[in-house]
Amino acid sequence: MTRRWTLGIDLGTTNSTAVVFDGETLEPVRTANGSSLLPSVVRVTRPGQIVVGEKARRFLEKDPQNTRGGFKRLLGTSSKFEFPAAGESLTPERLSTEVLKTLLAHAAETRPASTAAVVTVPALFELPQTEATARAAKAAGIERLELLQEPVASALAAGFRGDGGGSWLVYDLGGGTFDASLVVGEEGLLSVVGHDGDNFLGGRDFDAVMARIIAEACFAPAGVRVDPKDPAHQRAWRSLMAIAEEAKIELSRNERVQVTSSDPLEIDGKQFDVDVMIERSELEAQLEPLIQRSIDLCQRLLETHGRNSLDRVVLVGGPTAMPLVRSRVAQALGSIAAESLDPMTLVAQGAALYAAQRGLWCGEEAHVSLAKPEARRLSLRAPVVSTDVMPYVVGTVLELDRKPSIARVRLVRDRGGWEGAWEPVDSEGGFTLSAELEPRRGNVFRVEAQGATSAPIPVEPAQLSILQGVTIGDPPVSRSIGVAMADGRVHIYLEKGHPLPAKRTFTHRTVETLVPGNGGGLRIPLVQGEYDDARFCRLIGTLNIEADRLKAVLPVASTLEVTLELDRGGRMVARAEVPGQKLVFEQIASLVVPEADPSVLEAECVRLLERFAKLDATLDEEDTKLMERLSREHLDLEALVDRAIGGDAEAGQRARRSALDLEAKLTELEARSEWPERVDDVMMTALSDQHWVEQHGSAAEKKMFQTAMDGLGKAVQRRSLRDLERHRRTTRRLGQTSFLRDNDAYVLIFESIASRVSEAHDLKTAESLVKQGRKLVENGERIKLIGVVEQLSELLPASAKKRKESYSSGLY
Amino acid sequence: MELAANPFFVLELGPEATVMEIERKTQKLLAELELGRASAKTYRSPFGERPRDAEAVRAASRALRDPTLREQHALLVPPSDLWPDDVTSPIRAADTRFPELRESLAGTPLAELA
Repeated sequence: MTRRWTLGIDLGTTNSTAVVFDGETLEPVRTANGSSLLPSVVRVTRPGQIVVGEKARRFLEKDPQNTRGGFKRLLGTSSKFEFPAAGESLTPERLSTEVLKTLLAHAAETRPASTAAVVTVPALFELPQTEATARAAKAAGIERLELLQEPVASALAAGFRGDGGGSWLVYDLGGGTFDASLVVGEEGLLSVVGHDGDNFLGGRDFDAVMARIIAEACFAPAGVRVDPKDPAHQRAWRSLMAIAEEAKIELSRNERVQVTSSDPLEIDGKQFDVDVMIERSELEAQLEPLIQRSIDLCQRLLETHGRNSLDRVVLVGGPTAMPLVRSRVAQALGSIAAESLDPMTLVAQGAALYAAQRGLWCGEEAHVSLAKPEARRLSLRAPVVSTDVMPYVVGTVLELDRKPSIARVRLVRDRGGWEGAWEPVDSEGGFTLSAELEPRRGNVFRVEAQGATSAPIPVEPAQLSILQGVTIGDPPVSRSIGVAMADGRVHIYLEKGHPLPAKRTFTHRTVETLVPGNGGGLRIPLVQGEYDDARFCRLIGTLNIEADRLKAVLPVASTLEVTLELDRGGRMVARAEVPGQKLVFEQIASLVVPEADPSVLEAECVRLLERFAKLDATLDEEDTKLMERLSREHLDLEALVDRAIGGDAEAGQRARRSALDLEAKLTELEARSEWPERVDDVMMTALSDQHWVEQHGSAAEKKMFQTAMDGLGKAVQRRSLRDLERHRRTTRRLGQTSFLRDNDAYVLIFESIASRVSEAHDLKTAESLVKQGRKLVENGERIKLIGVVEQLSELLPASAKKRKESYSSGLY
Repeated sequence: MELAANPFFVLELGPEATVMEIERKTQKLLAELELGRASAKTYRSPFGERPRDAEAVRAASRALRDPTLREQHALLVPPSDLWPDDVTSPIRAADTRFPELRESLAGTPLAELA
């Protein structure tokens, strides 16, 4: 009997890890030097000669031109890393493939090659980054692959052996970013209900604090300052950061550390030795504001989801080993889950457990028995991992005509002597058994069968195993996904948090006429983000309806069916169907993260600053606090743009994302400065909607309306524009539905649309429809009027500005 | 509008079902469908017998994990004593039952939830 196992991989920015799970124990994959961490660093000095891991990391300072790290952040972009000594230019995807290949090779040192695995991705990865990770994994030789979000993996690993109940916070402080995820466990089933993060907070910021402490002690007395932005100081700064990182790690274990450098550092033409004693308390005093920032963010996340307390906090990432981080987090947020959990391999552990849950086993099936020739074959379906202690096992007897016939089947557990009841086999050969599991362990069952005379009949498979423990529900979509419409709004297909896999289809209308042979086409922009305004969402790809591929003219306002389908790992397929022509368009253009042009980013930075200045005078006290936070984010953004101008592509990408986030937050703040007017406006509309719901709504609708009104009240209290908009959408929808049941509803709509007839795409048709509509109104033919109203509204255009803001969408 | 696609009907559970019962039933139905069990391919609803596939089971299970959606769907489950005796009659004929319930929901956002 060959053992089977699953493999979980945490492809990290600084370090990567892999863990093997054999159904009972989780074991980290060790590198050549016995470490469970593989530095995500690649060095290429000759064509085809690639060194990965610790051996490469040693050259990160000495030979940065041919040694690269931190490429994970650029996955999904068109960036390339030059390796001048080898004359090669490699994408972040290819470099990630090399890291994955190395992990697989280390895993293969103790067992046969693994061709199935779960690889984790950050919760806030955009679709192009997710796609690139999947391609890198496939290229590394992982044939059966699933992707899993990092916080889900951490929660699964931390909760697997526990009861998994209550509210959890996954506090993930990585090298460059901080992520907080709120996880809720109910009856053994975990689900991620929300996350938040800070792209500018991570272990590297801690290193920078330490580097400044060292520089202050060693160079300031000589009147020398090290400026990380000064190109002439960059080599010295890199060395200082490396020394600082080591010293910081040592201070997690000891109260003080003697910091020394092996070689002197050259600053402004002078040589300086580093030799200084640093106390832990000195570092902690300066780290306090950074740690507080992370705690504020966690508290904001809890507040957003209406949680006052947490049942446990799971720490992930190297910097969480620091005593100050642990004590401050425990003090402010709640007890830390099992101090024994390894924050460095927790994500990979969760990935390996998830692989078992998804049936991604490597090696041979563990429980294939040595089949006797007379054994009757069964087809069995049982969960690999179950939260339920009494799951069903469903089976079918194959070759039903073979004699002797199986009359009944049961399960007998290997441990503890549990015997299931004999269950009859039905006329189709089907049977359903109940298995009683011992909690939080692997359970092996013998499958027994009897004929009509109670004589035993050997069966194949004769055994099955089910692992009892916490499982996770379907992974959620990390950011809402939709299609930008020509009016500048987003039609959300899958809301943030919607479980995967998922598929949604909506029907839209085209805004232009397409003629085959005339070239051109129609764009369907696919966007990701939490805003109704398309311009604040990220463009993640475009489906193009090329006119030349059409079989016939596609007139304006033709119907298009757009389908977005996401698998469990968040990989997307988008499809547009032209029903009238039986044509399907599937190819997505530009599924890459857009370029981050430093000059555009710089201009954007200035523009944001101008908006900040305008806004400052109009805010009240509460908003001023928010403004202070945004101003700090703006400063961080400026620093990133500076680095982008200096040629740092990773900083450019971070700046691009941050500028978009900042713009959206600023817009929200601007809207809040008009808060009283906005609230009045929403409440007036809601009251009007309430009138219609009371007049024509069903009992269920009235109840829903009241819930939404309560939500509006809470949103007003919390001054949350997003919640106000969300509840407004519900009250509007219910109000409009009820309004449409009114006898005069379509007459009023018709008059409103008819007054805009001069703007129609096809004036002739529109005027004719108006005439037709007026006649129907006169004759009281209201049902027919609905059709006219629908046709007319399709002829009204979106403005050019709105179309531009919607990434030139050709749909509405 | 597809009132018969209420997740409680699809999983053949009552509105009082626990999270674990939903999970258990989901896994059972998915396994039965994978093995092609005829009994899993349809379900009873007050509007008649309807076809059921794995996607419908997953969608129903997801919907019932969301507390808000679950509450909304629970509102639409008529008490079992109001179900017609013969729920396997042709769908079109069955659709004429519960006229009040159908009428009150026609074209409403609630109908979209199913």
